[in-house]
Amino acid sequence: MSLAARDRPTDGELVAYLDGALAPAERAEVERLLQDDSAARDRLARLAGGGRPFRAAFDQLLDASPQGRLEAMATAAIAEGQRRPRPAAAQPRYRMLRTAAALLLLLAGATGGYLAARGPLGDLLADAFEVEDSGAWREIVAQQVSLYSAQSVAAMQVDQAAQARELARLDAALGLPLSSNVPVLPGFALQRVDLLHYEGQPLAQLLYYAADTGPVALCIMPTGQAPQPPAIERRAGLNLIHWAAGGREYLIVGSAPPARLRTLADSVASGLSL
Amino acid sequence: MTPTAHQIVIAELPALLPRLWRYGLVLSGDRSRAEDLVQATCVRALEKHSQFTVGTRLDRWLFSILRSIWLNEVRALKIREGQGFVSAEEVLFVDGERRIETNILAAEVFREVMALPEAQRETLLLVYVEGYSYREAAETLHVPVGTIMSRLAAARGKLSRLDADRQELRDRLAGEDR
Repeated sequence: MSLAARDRPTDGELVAYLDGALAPAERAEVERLLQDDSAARDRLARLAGGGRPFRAAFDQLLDASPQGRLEAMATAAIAEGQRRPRPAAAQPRYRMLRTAAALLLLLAGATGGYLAARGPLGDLLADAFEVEDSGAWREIVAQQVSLYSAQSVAAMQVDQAAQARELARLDAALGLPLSSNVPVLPGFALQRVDLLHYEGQPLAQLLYYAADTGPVALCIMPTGQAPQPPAIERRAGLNLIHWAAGGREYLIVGSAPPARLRTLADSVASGLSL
Repeated sequence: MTPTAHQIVIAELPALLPRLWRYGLVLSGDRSRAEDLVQATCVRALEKHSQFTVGTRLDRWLFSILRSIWLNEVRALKIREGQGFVSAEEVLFVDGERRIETNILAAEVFREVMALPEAQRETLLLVYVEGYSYREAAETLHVPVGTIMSRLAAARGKLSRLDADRQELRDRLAGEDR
């Protein structure tokens, strides 16, 4: 964080100053700015007035927790985990419930709150940290895709008319003619199309299925990102390949091995003439 | 011999349950949903224990799991049901006998914090209660450090206004007494 270019500290920097979270040089700089700026001193006093004995107050909640019931739950979960022959396999019914809930999230478009929680000040500061944040959306998508079970994606009813409508919405949101040129993943069937949002940006998600590797999601988000060659990474227990072209970021995520993802990425890129 | 991820999860999970419940309560504002979140977190942690890296902090890993369950599953259902928030009294004065001075202050702080937006509540809990550094909170919440700072500033700005409003009310009541 560099304060040198500005003549007044932001509220965020003042809070960091109060919290002792600034490096010595930044701290000295804030103190210098405060000396000549009575409005900033007023803001500092206001922010200091918003302090509370948070830890002491919230530690009281620990005593109010239903300790006995929580311990019983943990014991049951541990016993259940040891009873299952393969620890990674979830109970089918629970899986279905989780998938249903994940789908509800998609249907409700419930991406507000956390995903949209970034005010003007946050935007300003976020610019300075853009590099750090570039993988956040992939992490969220990977976590979401990790919730799908192979069976439930395989069993999804494909409604061609609804899919066409959703693809048309994607065309408008992304500025890409997806409805007339649906991305083809060799060996995979398109099961579901959704228009999601991430931090105010439209995020297209096309969910595919193949019997040998399970579900794979193709996501496209217009971010203005400079072109980037495909790169492989691993998040939330899944394999990812991501690249950028034409001001859009592309991501394919699933449990398919990296070599297969590369083939799929080539197919998507050549299909869309990237 | 170094314990395995599975052994660590089993050994350390019980002591972390109250803190997981508290995080669930701050996110959901609902006692029983907080319990559901803890239960789902336990199940998921034991299913996915191989994803825990031995040598890293188990509490942070469990918090991330609970948060992901909340974001992906429970919150969507809650939005549909449109349930309200639990009151501070309901949480803190369960048995009705613990109405002591510190508890009243704690209830006041809890009430004020729970009136903040979810993102601010959660950031405040991680930094001011759980003791995460700004950077650790940013990594856990998948946002830039600047967003952590601006959320804390927004939260403190609101709490400060509450103080000012209370002072104004006191001044007005004192004026009426005269």
